[in-house]
Amino acid sequence: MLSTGLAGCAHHPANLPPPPTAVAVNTETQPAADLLVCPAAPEGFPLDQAATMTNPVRSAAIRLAEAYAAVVDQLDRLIEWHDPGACTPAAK
Amino acid sequence: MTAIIAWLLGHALTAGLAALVPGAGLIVLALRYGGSVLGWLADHRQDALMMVIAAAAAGLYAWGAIGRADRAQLEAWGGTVCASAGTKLQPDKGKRGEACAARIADLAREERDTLKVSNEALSAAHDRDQARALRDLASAREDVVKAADAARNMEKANGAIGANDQVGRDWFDALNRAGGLRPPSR
Repeated sequence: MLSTGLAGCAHHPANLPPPPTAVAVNTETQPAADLLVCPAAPEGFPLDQAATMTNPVRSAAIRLAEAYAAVVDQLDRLIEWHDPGACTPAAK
Repeated sequence: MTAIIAWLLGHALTAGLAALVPGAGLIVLALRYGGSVLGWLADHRQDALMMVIAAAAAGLYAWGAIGRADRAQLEAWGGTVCASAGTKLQPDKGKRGEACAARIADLAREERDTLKVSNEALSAAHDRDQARALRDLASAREDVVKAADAARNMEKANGAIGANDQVGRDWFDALNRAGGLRPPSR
């Protein structure tokens, strides 16, 4: 009989250990902890001072300030993508 | 001896043929007795009985042969199934089919569990990503509104600077807001 032949050829042990229990592992990678520290805003220009600035210089200062704000906003969003609520105003 | 052979040819052969190959037996009968089967039956009651018994025996034998073939096929199939599950239908120790059935049940359970855990993980990942995307969208909207407000304020303060290019409290305050800087201590 075929079954006898198969049983004779089979080298598997008759009683195998039960298959392992299924486990789901989260493999999402997390950036290094220091990359997830929210940027602290530096102190601004003193309000009790006056200066003479030509229009091109003022424009450059405004561009710098707005670019800095945009970068901070983007970094906050990136950090909160990994660590929800880390950079919300209450946490800052 | 000749008499025995004659009897065999005359009776047993006819009866056997009729039992094993009904069509051929009937043809032989018809050829010998010209269709008067009832007459033949009256004369050969014993032969007829023998034919019926032979037919029944042949039927039983054929039935048994089919059963044995089915059984062998099932056993072969069982052996193949158990071998694919990594076990044997008839292990060295233990009841036939018991370890194999347990192994197959284990594998089926593993498949169910794996599918369940995978579905849960996928579903959780999907929910997490969706919540994250919604949160980020809200945050981005807030940033845009804040930046637009600060830019408008800055433009206004900058427009108020006279021809002497003197900047003071209002302009610096607007610049601090545009840059998202902390209010100065003085």
